[in-house]
Amino acid sequence: MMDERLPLGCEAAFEDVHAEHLSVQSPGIVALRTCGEGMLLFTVHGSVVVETRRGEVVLRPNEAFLCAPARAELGIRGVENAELYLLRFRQGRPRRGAPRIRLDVPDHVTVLRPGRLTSLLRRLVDEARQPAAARAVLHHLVVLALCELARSSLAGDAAQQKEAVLENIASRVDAFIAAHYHEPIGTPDIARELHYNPDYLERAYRSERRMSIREAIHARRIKEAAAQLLLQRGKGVAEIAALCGYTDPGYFRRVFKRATNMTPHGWRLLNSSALRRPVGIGAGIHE
Amino acid sequence: MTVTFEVGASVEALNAGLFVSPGFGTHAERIIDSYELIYVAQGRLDMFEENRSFALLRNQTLLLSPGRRHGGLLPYPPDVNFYWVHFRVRGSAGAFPCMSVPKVATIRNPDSMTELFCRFISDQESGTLDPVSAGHLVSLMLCAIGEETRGTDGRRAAQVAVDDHAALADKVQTYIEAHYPDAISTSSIAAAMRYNPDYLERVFRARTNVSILDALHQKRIGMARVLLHTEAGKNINEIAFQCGYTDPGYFRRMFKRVTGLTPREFRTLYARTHINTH
Repeated sequence: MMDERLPLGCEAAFEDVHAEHLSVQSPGIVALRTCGEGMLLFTVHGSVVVETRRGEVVLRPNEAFLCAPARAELGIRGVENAELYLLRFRQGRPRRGAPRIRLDVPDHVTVLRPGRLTSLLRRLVDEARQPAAARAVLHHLVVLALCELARSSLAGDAAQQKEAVLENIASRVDAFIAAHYHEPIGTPDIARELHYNPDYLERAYRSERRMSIREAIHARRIKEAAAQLLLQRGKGVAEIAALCGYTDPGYFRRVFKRATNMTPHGWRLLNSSALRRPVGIGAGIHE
Repeated sequence: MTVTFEVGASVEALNAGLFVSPGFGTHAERIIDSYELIYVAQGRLDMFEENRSFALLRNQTLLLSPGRRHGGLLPYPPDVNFYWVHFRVRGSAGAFPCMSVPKVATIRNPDSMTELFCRFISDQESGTLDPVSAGHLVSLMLCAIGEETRGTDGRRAAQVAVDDHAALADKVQTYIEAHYPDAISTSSIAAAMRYNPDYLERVFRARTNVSILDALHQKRIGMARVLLHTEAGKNINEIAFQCGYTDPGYFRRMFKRVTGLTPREFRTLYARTHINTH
C-alpha cells in the first residue's frame, strides 16, 4: 500500500536521550552525574539537594530542575527518602532552514501537573530502555516534557488544581451527554453510569457549569437538533426530534422555542437561504 | 532564570476530537487544506479518498491528504467511534528527509495512541494547548504509525532477521494478545504451546529483554490504560477484572509500578474531552 511522505526528518534535535527512575535514600547518598549537555530532574516524593558549581539547590516534591548545557557536573544528595526522574539529553543542531520555534523553560519550577510530567518521563524511561529506540520518538517526548515545565511557570494558580476534581466530574458528565443525547437519558441514568450519588453529581456539575444536568441535556439536544434541521432538510420536525432524543414532538417544540425564541420550523426557514450561514446557538459543524 | 531551546516546528496541529456515532449520518464529502489523521477506537469506518476506499477496523489509522476529495462510504454504524486530528506540515518535501507514513496502519500499542489523543484534546478544551506541545503530540502519533526513513531515498530501516527463536517469541506474544483477559501464566502458556516453561522463558527473554510475566503485565496494564480513558462508566475494579486481574489490590500495585501513577490519578490526567457526533 502506498505511503504518504512527510518532510519531518529534520526534527530530531534532542539526541543521546537517557531517562532513569531513581530512588535516593536518606541521608547523604550522593549520586554524581556528569551533566554533559542538558539534564532535567523531577522529584516525585521527598526532597533532594542538587549540588552544582554555582551552589546548592533544594528540590522539594513536585519540583523540577533543569541543568543548562554549560554547567559541568552535579551531585544529588537525599535529604529524606526520595523518588525522582532524571533525564539527560544533548541538543543537536537542527537542519538549516528547518521550521523551528523558541521555547523558554524555567530552570527551577514547581510542576503544575505532576501526573502529566510523570506520565511523559515514565514513557521516556520505557522507550530509552528499548534496544532500538526511535530517535524521533525520544526527541518529541523530551520536547513535551520541556513544554510541561514551560507551562508551569505561567500563572500557576493552586485554585486551578483544586477545581480539577469537580472539572473532571463535569467533563465526564458532558462526555456522557455528548455520546448519549439521542437516547432517553436523565440525571439518575448518568449518576448510575458514572457511579456517583445523583444529588452529589448534580451539585458538582452545577458548581462547575452553572446549570443543571437536565439543562445540559436539553442544551445538547437542542444544539444537535438545530444542526440536524439544516443538515437533513428532507426530514420533518418530528423525525429530527426523535433523532435528538425527544419522543414527543410537541415537547420538543416547546423546549426549542424556550431555548432559541424560535420554532424549529422558523429556525429552518431563517437559515434556508444557501447564502446565509447559520446564526446563533452554535449550530456549526464541528469538524 | 530560564533556558532557551530551539525546537522543531515542522507540524502545525489545528484541532482534534473524538467522534461518537449517533447511529445515523455519513461522513461529509469534502476537500480540506490540511492533513487529517483518523484513529478508529471502536467499530468499523468505511471511507474513501479520491478513488481508493478504506475499510477501517478497531485500532487502525487512516491518513487523509490535503487537496484530495474524501468522505464516508457507508452510514456510521451505531458502535463506531474514532479520534481525529487536523494538521499541516511546514517543511517542503524536497529540502528535508522524509518520514514515510502508511495511509492505513494497525496500531500495536493502543494505550499510547489513545493517551496522545486524550492529552491533546484535554488541553485543547481547557484552552491550555500550546502550539509546541500540539505539534509534537501529532509528531508522536505519526511516529507511532510510520517508521522513520533515513535520507530522502526512502530506504527503510533494516528488518530484523526472522529465525526460529524470533518466531517462537512472536508466538508467545500473540498468545498473550489473545488470552490476556484470562487467568494465564508462564506455565499455562508453555503448556498450551507444548514447550518446557524454562526453555520458553529463556527464548522469550533473549529476544525481548523481558520475562513472559512482564510482557503479560505490560499487555494487561496497557489495556487498562485504554479502558480507564474510554470506559468512563466502569469503576477501577471492573477494569482490573476485564484486563485479567482477579485481585484489584494487585492490579493497583502493578499499575503504579508500570505507569508511575495510580489508576485513579491516571484517569483524572485528561479531564476534558471534545465529542462530536456529525
